[in-house]
Amino acid sequence: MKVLVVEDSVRLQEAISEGLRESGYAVDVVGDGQQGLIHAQTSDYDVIVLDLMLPRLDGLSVLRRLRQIGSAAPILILTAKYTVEDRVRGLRTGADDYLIKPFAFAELVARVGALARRGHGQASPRITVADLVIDTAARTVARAGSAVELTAREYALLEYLAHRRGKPVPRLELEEHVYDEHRQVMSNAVDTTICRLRAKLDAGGRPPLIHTRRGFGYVLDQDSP
Amino acid sequence: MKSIRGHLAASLLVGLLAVLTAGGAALYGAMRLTLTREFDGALLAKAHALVQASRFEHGQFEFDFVADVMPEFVRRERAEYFQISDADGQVLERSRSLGDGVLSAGEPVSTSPVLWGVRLPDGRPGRALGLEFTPQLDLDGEPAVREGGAPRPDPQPVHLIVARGREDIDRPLSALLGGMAIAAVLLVSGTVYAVHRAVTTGLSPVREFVEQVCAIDAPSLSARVSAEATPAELAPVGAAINDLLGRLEGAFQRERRFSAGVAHELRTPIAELRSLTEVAARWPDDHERAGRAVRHAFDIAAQMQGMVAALLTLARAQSGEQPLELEPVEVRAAVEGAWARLAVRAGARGVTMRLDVAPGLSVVAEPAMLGSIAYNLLDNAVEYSPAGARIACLGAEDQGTVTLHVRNPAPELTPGDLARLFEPFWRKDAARTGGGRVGLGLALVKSLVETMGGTVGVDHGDGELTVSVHLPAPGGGGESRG
Repeated sequence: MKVLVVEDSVRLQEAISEGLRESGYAVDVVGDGQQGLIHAQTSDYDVIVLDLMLPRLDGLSVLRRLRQIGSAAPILILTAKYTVEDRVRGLRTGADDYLIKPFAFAELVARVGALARRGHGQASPRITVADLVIDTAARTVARAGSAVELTAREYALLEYLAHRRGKPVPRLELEEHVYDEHRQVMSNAVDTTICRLRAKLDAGGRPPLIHTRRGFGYVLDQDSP
Repeated sequence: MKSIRGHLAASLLVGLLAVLTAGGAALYGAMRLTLTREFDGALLAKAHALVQASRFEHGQFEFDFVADVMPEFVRRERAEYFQISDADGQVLERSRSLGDGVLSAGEPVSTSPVLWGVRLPDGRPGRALGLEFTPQLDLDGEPAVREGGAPRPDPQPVHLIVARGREDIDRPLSALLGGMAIAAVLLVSGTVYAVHRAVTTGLSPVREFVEQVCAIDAPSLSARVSAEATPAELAPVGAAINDLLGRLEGAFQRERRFSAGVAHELRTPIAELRSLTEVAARWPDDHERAGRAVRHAFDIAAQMQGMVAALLTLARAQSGEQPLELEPVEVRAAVEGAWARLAVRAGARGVTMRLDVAPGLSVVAEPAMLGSIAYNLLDNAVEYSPAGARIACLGAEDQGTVTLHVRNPAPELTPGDLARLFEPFWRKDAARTGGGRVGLGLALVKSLVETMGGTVGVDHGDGELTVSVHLPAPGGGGESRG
């Protein structure tokens, strides 16, 4: 799950990006509206966290332009503007959610998670594939009733595949949604993570759930087609 | 408290009553005069009839009274009286109604009739007429010379007094009085009612005006007293109220914007503080992260402290509660003092200053306030000039006013920004990233200058911003104490 944070306060940039990364998100951070617009147009984000008072281009203009060009990325406005009119204006302009500063960090993470889920057409936080259950709210994974311990990166990969279950996901898309733009990604990082995931999920001789599409990517499904 | 309504009603009532009383008195007087004249005329006619009935015959007074013709002198009811006496007061003839009574003359009787008021023998009030006349000589069958050769005696003058009751005067007059009293009661009550109505309806626009004004409260300050509903006499009051409302509304709006600005400015650092500490608390073992969070928290605290201090200074300057200690202060020293505090920051950005203020140029100001003005002007210039820029600080005196200009390159500023430059919390691009910038500096400058009776100005041209402060020069006539 990849999140774009458009926020001009350096301290908030730091806190939000660190907090979201620790929660298993890949996070890109920009400090002004223009950069935000460029990033949102050139990359596919699962959620965009957008401040309103921004240098160069204000948040509402960013929002309006993104919606004009047909971007459907879920957008959460995170701002100190707290009046009802501000909130209504933000939501009417095309925002999916509105959170007022100061905020509880857990709430920001929960809202970002809910938006990401909805963005993938998933209303319930529980995704079930055969005997695999992923609780995206609690960020826990269980296979046949017993918990599976995953690293943040492994979980992020699995969750992304789970949102697209039954559909092959290109390796590049996985890379883009699981790693930040500034992290140097080893060319085989996705493959090695998938390998570790398989080992953990299929422990005890259970039938494999992650299948390889040669030259394309991976698919999470009950049976290999 | 004066009541217009009570005052109007009272004066209208008193005025109307005075007119009514005067009119009534005049009518009564005219009526009384007319009645008295008629009465006296009738009395005189009676006297003449009695004179006609008098003769002088055979040397003595004779009187031919015919009771049928003048029954009033005979009857007991509403009787009238006459009495004829000789010059010595010896009664020669009297009306039967008089009995043995005597009518005394209230006035000296002469040959022309005199009239006076009298109490009649039966106790009624009346009027009497006195006349001296000489009875007609009757010579029927009488020799010119009497027997015995005595000369025929000449007729002697006699006094006639005729009196009758004043009923003919008093009855109509009392009837008139009664009528007038009834009319007065009706008129007064009618007048009271009419005055009440007139005053009430006349003052109803005032009541509506008051209702309009009373309906205005703090949330509806945009309301105005409508000009059509305001009576012409109250138009100046309405205009004054509207003017006051306009100023109040402006002040409230500024206050609201200011509070909203304060709230917004506090929310951002609080959000930073909260997020930083929350994230740090999630991973308590990450000491490096915790250390960074603490350093940030310290910076945020310092920033908020600066903001609160600036807000307090602004509030104090605007409230005008503290009496000002105005005295001549040298401008150059104030600017140099402020620049010294900024030198490190300016040096880091490569910003320099050209100081063109003549030594000895002074303004009437409070020294600390002038220092704060200079500091905020220069601080603003240092912060928003491009790196390596040169700030110009110029001072000039003209006609009792000293002007301090601070000019700095501001290529990003647009003419539209100028109007908002002195607004609290306004910053170009709303870029809060610049650490301790709050956006109160120029607002504070404006407040401080205006508190000391000066003005501020702003000009923008060729990519340069000039902020000017005008303050009175010592002995320049423009000195004001706030």
